[in-house]
Amino acid sequence: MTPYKVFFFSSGAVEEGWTRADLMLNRANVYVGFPLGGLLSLAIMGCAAVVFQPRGIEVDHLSQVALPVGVALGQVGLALVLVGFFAATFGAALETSMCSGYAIAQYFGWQWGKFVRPAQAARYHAVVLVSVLAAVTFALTTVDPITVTEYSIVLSAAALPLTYFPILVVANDRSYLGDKTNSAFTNVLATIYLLLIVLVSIATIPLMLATKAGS
Amino acid sequence: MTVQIPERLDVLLELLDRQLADTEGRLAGKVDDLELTVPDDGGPPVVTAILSGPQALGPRIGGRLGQWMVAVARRLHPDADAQPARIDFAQLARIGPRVLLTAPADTPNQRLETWVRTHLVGRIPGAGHADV
Repeated sequence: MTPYKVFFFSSGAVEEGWTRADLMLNRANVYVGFPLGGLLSLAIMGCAAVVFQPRGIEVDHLSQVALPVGVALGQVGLALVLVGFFAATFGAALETSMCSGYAIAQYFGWQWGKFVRPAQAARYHAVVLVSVLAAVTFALTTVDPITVTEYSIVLSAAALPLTYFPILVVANDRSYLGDKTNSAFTNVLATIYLLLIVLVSIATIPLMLATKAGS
Repeated sequence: MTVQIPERLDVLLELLDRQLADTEGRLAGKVDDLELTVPDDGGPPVVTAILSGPQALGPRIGGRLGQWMVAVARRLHPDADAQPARIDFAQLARIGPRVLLTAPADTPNQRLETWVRTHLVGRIPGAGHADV
């Protein structure tokens, strides 16, 4: 539900022409994919803790995540981790830069996306390219990537209601969703969740300042 | 062709800021502002056209950001007195989540697109390849 994810998924849905039939697949994604992702993240943290904590080592680089896998599975494990690093970072770079393109192109109503030739969505592709270059330039300033991650997560949390609330409104709009609008029960759950994320969003920036982003 | 343009609608909710698309599905900007005309016999003003482009959006946003948007658009345009693209209400096919035009969009606001295509994206190998 972070803003860039909303742009990514909704734009992908338009580009790939999702229909009612895709609802099943997306439900499966939510019920299977999200817990799986959470489980894997926990596993990474757990393995890192098991290897590093007894030795009193603080984890502050992505590269350190490879060590527990290397210890457990040897060279093959290390190779797999490297492929995983590449897939994760390359995928994330593509995803976030495309989201910049989606957000800006859709705000101004420009042609966007991969369903036309790149030359026919020139401004969209230019924004994507400039975002990648800007991000690389920013990373090359030797800013600490973990600090950047912490601040971006905090700012995403602060912005959550801005994407969550419009989606909740659209989820009740028959001109968009026909007979697939939210049920009363879903709306009750969704409203409780809305209150929760409004609280999070109000608390997050003062907390970040008070704790100096957890340091 | 039956034109599905309602007599009355809440323009703030159902028209402003919607995406414009032409008959070929190409995206052609946003409904940035509306032209209102007072009928000759008096009475309440009616919407007669959609205005699109930074020259329409800027004044609607207002403030410093809006002025800046208009100034950039004016600077980039050969005609310093350029008006926003005007799409007559008669050229609309349907008003929905997307506002559909009856004719191929005659490139309102496509000058920046053309410039970026000619000078940057069009020069990248593969720019003319379709994905599907």
